[in-house]
Amino acid sequence: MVKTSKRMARAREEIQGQAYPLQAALPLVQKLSSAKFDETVEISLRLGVDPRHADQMVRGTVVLPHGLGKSKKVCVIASGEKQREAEQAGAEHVGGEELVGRIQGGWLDFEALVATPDMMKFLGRLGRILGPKGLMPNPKTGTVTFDVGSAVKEIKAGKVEFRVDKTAIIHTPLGKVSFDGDKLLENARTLIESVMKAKPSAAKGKYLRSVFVCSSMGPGIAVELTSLDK
Amino acid sequence: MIRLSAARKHFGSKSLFEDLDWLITPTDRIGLVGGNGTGKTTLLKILGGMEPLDGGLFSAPKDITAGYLPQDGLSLSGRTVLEECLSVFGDLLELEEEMKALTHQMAEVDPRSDEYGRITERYHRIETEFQGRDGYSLEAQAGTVLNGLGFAPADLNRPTESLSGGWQMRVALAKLLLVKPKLLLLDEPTNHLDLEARNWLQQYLNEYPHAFVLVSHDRYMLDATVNKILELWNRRAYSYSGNYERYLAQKSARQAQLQAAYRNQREKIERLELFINRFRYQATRAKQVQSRIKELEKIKRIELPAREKTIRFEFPQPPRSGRMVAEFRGVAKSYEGKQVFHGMSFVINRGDRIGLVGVNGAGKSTLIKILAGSEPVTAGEFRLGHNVKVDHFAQDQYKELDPGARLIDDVSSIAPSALSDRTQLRTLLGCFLFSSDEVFKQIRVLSGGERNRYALLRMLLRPRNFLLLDEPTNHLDLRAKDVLLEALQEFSGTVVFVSHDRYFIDKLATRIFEIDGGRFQDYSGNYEDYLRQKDQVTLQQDDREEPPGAENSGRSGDRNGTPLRRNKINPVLVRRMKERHQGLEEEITRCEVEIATQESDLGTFKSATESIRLVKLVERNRKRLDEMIREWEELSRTLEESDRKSSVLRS
Repeated sequence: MVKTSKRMARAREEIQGQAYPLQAALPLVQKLSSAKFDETVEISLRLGVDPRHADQMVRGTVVLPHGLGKSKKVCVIASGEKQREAEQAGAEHVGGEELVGRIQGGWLDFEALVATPDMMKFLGRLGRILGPKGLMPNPKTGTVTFDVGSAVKEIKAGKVEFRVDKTAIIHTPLGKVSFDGDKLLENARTLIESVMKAKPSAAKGKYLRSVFVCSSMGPGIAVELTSLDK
Repeated sequence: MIRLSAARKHFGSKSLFEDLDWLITPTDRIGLVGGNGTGKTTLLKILGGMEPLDGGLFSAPKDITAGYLPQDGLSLSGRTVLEECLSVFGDLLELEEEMKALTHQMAEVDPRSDEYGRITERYHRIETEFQGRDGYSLEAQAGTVLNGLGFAPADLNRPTESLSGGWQMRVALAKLLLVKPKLLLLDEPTNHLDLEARNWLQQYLNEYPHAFVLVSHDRYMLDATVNKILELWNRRAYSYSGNYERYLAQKSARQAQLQAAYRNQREKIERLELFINRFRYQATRAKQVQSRIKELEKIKRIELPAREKTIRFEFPQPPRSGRMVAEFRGVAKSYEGKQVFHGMSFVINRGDRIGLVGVNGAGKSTLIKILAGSEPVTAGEFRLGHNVKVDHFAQDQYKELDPGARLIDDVSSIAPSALSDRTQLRTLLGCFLFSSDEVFKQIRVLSGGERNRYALLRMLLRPRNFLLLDEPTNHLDLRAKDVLLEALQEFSGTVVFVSHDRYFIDKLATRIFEIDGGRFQDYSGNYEDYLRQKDQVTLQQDDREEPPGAENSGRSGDRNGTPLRRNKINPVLVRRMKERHQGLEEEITRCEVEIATQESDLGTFKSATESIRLVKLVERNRKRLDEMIREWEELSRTLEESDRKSSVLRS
């Protein structure tokens, strides 16, 4: 039996197991955060889709208006002048085919990977390494593009990728506990809106089943679905 | 999920089963049992869609995938072990190839063109599907399964044709486990697995998310994995819930019930017939007789199934050997510089039945070969006792047989005179699964397994007094194993054997030799005792292990500098418990005396109120006594435990 810590027990007591409107839930998350670091606020959305069917897959990207509160390390694989463009945009690692070799050798010191379409042929063989970590570039999520400059900037500005997992739940970060309440709320609304837009046509029944918010080490707080329509 | 109704199957002129109704639900764990040739394999093949039914209905939903592991007859070639395993994910690998091709196309077309849009759309879809189906972790999954089945990391890149039949079987099993079909059909999967791999498979099956049907002659395996048993017997299928052990209990209960019902029915029929015969010609009773006749016709006669033949055979006993059969003194053995074991010393006494256990390649067969005298020792001394005659049953024993001889002739030529009767000889052959026309086969046309079986039989007919058996139970079914087991249990000589069948080891062994990583350990008792002793040893080792940093803890004021024991017993607590223990004993005696006097008082009646008072008193005292006894027992147990611990710590 997993023991609940006193910290967690106190926090749970405060929630009293009930659902809150989004605008009340987020401040509560901030209030209950008691870890010794700036925790990330996360949101989980359970959807009414069957992710085993490819046509019911929900996946997309969204640029959060207030970012995530931290900058991602970006690696860009491009050729020629595109490399310079990426460097100017602030990418940490920029290179061509030689980076592919390094990644194959086990180097993975980045959190996002952008590639130009002409370099994709070298990346094809990295699927087994990048795939499990969700780093494989994909044109649909804007990580395979010739416009590397803006792609890097977007990622740096707080672009998040979301996708349903096997249990039909999307988990993504919204920002940090130290954010202003309004900023978090705006980020959350933007994300939910974008997920709603990504509703596959094959999805049947109620699409958004339940929503929870929490901080990295805090308890989950249920969100009233009716509060999202306002 | 899958349903067979009124199913019927013939094999040539022989009917395997009739009127078989069977429903398999999505989470069933079924053990399929029955003697050799009762149609277990055929039934599995029918479920796997590889054989048609001769009659009846077989219905399964469209999306059911059934995976069948054949008993033998596999041949793989042209790929490495890992490639072969990954080949089951054919469609996923195709997706991966297409993804690679698309990345190449991306580089070639103009990003502004429609063509590029089409390519990226397709790439996105495929990548999503590939990831959703765990395409990126295929190798990891294959590695886990292969590792569990005993493949070393270096083996994964070996070509499959370089593997022996048993290992190819494991590859096939691994492939099947990776596919995770909705219905897993395993036909004797344990035949080629060693104990380690069996334990792994057992655990895997326990966690298997879908249904499976398992045919196995390993009782432990059946006991530990299945929750239903389907028995094929006498051309009928009988279903039982529970594992193998419960099946045996239920089966005997069912038989007893059936016999009782049969007896009752018999009596009823006799009664009716008696009535009919007596009054048939009385006009006044004609109506009653007619109704009785009708009743008689309506009775559905219970058929008693034919008794299962239990075969018993008395094998001749060997000449007696000396008390000491073999002795090892500091024996070491190495092959080409690689040490198999060293410092091995033991004595084998007459009548010992020793099971050798250890992982594949630990040196069990080497030890047997040294005992047989076919391998020299590298160092140390090895000698056999007085009048010891060794017989070694190796995996390739059949090579010594005369290929031209017919079985029945060969047996009669070596059988002792007491067994010269032809019927007896055929029974004997039947024990080892050579029935009807098979006894007239020549040895050269027998399969490898059959030859081994026959070689075993020959060995038992003319036994020497020191038998060395390497995997004798392979290729034998449960009944044949029982025959062998019984023969060996009654055998007066000495046996050293290697087996991967836990039940067999458990029933036969009186001593267990464990060879593990070059070290040798001698345990007395059977397999279960061995496991228990091993557990205890590990427990004690755990106890002896020091907690990290114990020397620095504040309480380690031991003068000798010995660190604090983890399980140190609190002496104050022990003293208190002892005091309470003694106090309880006295109190219990007092209470018993009290009850006795009160009961004797009850014997003489004084008044109703007095009696009621006494009865209540006795009841209360009884309750108190029970409670005290329970507490006393508990305390005794705890004290014993602490005594044991302290003696361990002292030693």
